[in-house]
Amino acid sequence: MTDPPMTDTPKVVTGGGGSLGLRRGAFGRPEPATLADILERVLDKGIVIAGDISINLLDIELLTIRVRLLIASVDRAREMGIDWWERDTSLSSGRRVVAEERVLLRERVAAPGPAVAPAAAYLPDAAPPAAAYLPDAAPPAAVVVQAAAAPRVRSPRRGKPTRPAAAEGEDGSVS
Amino acid sequence: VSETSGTWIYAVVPPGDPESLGSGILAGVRGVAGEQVRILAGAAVAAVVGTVDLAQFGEESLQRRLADLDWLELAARAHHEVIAAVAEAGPALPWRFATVYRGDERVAGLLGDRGAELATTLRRLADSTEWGVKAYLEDEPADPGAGDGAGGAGGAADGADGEPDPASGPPERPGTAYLFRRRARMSAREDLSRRAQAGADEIHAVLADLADAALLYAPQDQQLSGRTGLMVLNASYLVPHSRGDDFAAAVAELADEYPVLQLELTGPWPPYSFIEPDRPAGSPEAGP
Repeated sequence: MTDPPMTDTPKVVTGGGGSLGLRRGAFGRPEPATLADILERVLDKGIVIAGDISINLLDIELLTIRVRLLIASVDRAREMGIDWWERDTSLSSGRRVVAEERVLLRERVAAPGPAVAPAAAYLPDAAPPAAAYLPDAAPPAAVVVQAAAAPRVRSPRRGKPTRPAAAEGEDGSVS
Repeated sequence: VSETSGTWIYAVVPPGDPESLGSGILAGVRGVAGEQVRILAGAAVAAVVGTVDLAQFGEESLQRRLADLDWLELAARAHHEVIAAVAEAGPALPWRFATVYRGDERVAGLLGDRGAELATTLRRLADSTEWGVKAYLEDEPADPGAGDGAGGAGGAADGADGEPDPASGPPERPGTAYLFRRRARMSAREDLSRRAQAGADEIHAVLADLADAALLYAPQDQQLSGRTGLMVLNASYLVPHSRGDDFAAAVAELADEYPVLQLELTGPWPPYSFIEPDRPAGSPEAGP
């Protein structure tokens, strides 16, 4: 099967003599393991023997799920102040904008009222600069964020009358 | 030492020679509270611990801080760093994050009660390390909205490459042509991802065969992984030291064999994922 995009960019990480793009992290720490990798293991795995003070397992699981949901959405993560990708890469282009936005967010969040919910409602309007900054910030709508129920600006094609027609095939099923 | 401090456990290690571990490997290692990490010796096993302030690591405050993701990141990394440092020096059982006891005596009690069992697990894992393998389908069409359905992204891609349509009748009307093109693209994409998934399953089978145990994690979100590609495999393998090189070589070979996929090997990790015994290798318990 020929798939144009696939043949366009040949994809093997093997450089020369089969040196993979190996990331050797955990022990030697030449490169720190990614946060996602660490959380996966540290929160979910390891020896579990309840301590005197420990978060009950149900809570930990909820936490893990929550973290996954949160960090699965860049916008949401930014709301929560997770921005390690901004700090430790050279992606400095949108940085100031983002920083300013965060200040605004912080102010919003600090305002009386439920912890973070207002920020979610607030974000969409303020988002354009940040969206431009993150190259492929997909609309985060798919991620479960209750507070973001307010309709977001959709790309025009979406929800147009053409779409139902396209759904005659397996259109709608692709996710 | 007093009512106000607690003992955070990082890992359990064999009892032998804890002092050298303490003065050597652990000398410069700081824990989740920035504290000096130390060894608590027991008869069957020793624990790697740190003293934390219960004002900050008590039940309530801990719970609260866990919701602070900035803090969580730092603490999770610190916890992992301690475990990794210890595991680099020898066998170690990683402890679940955020387990705190009311003082060393309580930990000593634990080491007494559960020491034998922990020693057994230590022995089981002593000669192995954990390796992580991920596979990405890098060649997703330029479609940033892949996770979100085809919405605006399909339209954008359309304008972008405007390739002539393979096999789908004369495009007499733009709308129809668009739909045909779109469908062709979609089935190509579906086919690609089906093949990618099949490849991932095969890769997992091969690697699980080389390993003593295997565990499938859920694939990570694209934005989280920081990769443009779709993650189709996220697995951990427990590999005996003696087969470590073979394992890495196998991953390299598989990368050649499956050019559609990009493989990433991480590790060696402390054996986080294999604390529970007898996870049969090669039997995925959760399809990615």
